[in-house]
Amino acid sequence: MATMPLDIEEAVPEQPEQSNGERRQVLIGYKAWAAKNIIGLVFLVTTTVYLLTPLYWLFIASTKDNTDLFASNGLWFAHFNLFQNLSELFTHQDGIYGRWLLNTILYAVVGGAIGTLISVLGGYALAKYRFPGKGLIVGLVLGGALVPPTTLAIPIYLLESKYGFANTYWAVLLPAFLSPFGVFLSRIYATASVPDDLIAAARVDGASEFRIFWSVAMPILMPGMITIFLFQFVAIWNNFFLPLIVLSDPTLYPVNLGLATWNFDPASHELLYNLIVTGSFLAVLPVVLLFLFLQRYWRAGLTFGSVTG
Amino acid sequence: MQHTPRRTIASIGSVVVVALSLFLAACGGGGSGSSSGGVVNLTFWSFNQQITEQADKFNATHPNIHVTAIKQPSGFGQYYPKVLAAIKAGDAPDVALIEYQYVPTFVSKGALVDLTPYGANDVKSQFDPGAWALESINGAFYGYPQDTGPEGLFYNAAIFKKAGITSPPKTWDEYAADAKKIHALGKNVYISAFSATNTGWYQALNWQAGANWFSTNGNSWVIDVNSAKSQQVAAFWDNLISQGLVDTNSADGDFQPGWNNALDHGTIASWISAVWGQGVIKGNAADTKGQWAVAPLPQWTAGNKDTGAWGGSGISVITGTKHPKEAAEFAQWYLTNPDSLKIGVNEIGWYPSNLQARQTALTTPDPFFAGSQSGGQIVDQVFANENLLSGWAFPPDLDAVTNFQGNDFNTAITNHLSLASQLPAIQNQIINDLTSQGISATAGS
Repeated sequence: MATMPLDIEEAVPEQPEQSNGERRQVLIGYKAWAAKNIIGLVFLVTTTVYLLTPLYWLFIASTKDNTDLFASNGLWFAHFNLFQNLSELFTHQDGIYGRWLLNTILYAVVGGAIGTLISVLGGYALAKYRFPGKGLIVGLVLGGALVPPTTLAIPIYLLESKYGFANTYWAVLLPAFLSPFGVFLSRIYATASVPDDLIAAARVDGASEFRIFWSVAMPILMPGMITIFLFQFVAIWNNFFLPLIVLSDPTLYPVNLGLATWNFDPASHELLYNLIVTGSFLAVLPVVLLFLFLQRYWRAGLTFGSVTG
Repeated sequence: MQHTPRRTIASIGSVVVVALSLFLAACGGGGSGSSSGGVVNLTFWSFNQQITEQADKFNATHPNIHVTAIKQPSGFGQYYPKVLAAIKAGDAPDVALIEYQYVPTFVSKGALVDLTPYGANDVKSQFDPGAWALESINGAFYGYPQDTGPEGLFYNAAIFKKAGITSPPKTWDEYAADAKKIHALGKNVYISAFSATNTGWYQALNWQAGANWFSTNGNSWVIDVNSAKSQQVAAFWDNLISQGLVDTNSADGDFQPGWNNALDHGTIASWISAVWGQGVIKGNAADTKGQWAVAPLPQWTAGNKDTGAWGGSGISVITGTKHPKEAAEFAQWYLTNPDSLKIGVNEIGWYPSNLQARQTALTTPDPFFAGSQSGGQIVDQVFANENLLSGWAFPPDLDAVTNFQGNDFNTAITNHLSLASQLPAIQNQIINDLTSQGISATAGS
């Protein structure tokens, strides 16, 4: 990255006294270099625009009232209505939106944190201990990571209902604690980054197995853990179908489910598109901020285990 | 920066502790369908916003029953999977709003209580017979009709006038002729969008033509998607589609952003829709205020007033309730009590199936719909003058039918095949689907 000058003018070599032949050679080399990098640059810019446009649209849309939402250019401002949308958003139905936002934060932070801890405990154990049936467990975890979560929503609900905690906070949190994909990633991270010798040395020093995990292995695994936490956090933040099935009390809803209850209701004449769009924009911001703050770890975590030891 | 990971552990840890204690405090409570201190507790699910107001009124006058009303998400693939899962788990609400189109699907799963033993017939005369029929299957009655969705024609009179059309089409032949005149205004100006996946809309047009896709003969379902009348409707639209007179671009289909935009900019000049469509047009095409008007659905035989319905729902009692008598009492009260109906009509916006409530809804002209008479039309009145045909029924596997019809029509439009050519295949897929579920089904034609 550091050797790629973004300003192409600067990269043109200024060597007027060269012979024609030399000059051509340099130019050909330069042209090849420039073509390669321009393609790369165009690709990066296109991808960035492609990925950011929806977010940009959402921001623009959140500044509009219901009419302008459909009637005006989607990519530019019309009457600036953002503050009115916000005040309506936080007062509609006695301000239940704020409650939904807090619920989502609770589900994602608690579910993500405990889910990460459990994943790392499991992944570390699978990476560093030998015990009978380990291969089978690894296989089951891998299998579990391949099952789409949506297909599990109804069985999970039937179980929860049987044991009496459907329609409580636990109904969303308990399934969020267990992430086969998190265990799988943790196992890879732990295998690649925690040297067996280090564990052996800690044992010689008399540390208990849990102490070794907590004080020796976990700090090494921290970038990986943050990756898993982000995965979990985003998965819970975006999960729609599970809360839809397991919750029926609107005060427990996460924000996405709550906004869905405001969506177009054919028999009703009340249109809340402006609130839904503004509410969606607001609900996206925490995820964006979290990624910005934790992206250093996220990058480190992604490349973990990608070099041969 | 070496210390940051540790600090992160610590902060994650503290957040967890705080959050855990918060939600432990918030937990507890819940449970429904129980009775305590002689009061019967009932739960009611609907996707209308103002149901709690109605439940409060009921609770105030019924000291022995307490109804908790909960608004649920309304989207397809959201509300019904949730209700069906709750029924399976035994957590279902006692009373729930079920659209007419889903009633047979629920009945086939044994999910609805027959309300005949609870005095349903005592109030039968208060309701629209066409709507009542949709809740009656094999002599049983499964829910009080709440609102009905007869179809009519919403049109932008200013564009019609520009195309030289002075009165709305009374027959489908006139509609086809008008389609040509309107398309002559510009390459991207159409009389209407034709959305292949809009199955409920299209079924209502078959309903109007006198087709009956799904009926019962004893214990067997008769599937008649390929009848002469259905072929007639398909051929009519095939003709418009092949001439390019309706907008078949899926991005311009009903409720899509392109469609909203086209309504507001006058490049789609009309919408065949149910009575509830008035709210959609007012919300989405506010810039065309005053240009719109509403007319009865165009007819196959001039002078008739026939229509079919798109949408509409009723209030049912769910199997497994511990208090069917009280639940049935609430369901009946909900759609016969004047206070409850008033909230339904004025605040929720029902076009009510209760005939007396319908009369009170027919008084105010709406200036938005001032395209054909100054001051605006009384929109609901236009629909009230139509004749909602009896005899149509919905299938016991609605989601599958919606998929078959939507996919096959979509394929037809993409590949320039006729809709008519798809009807036999749709019929066969429905019969096979029902048979594979152990439901007896035969072909009607």
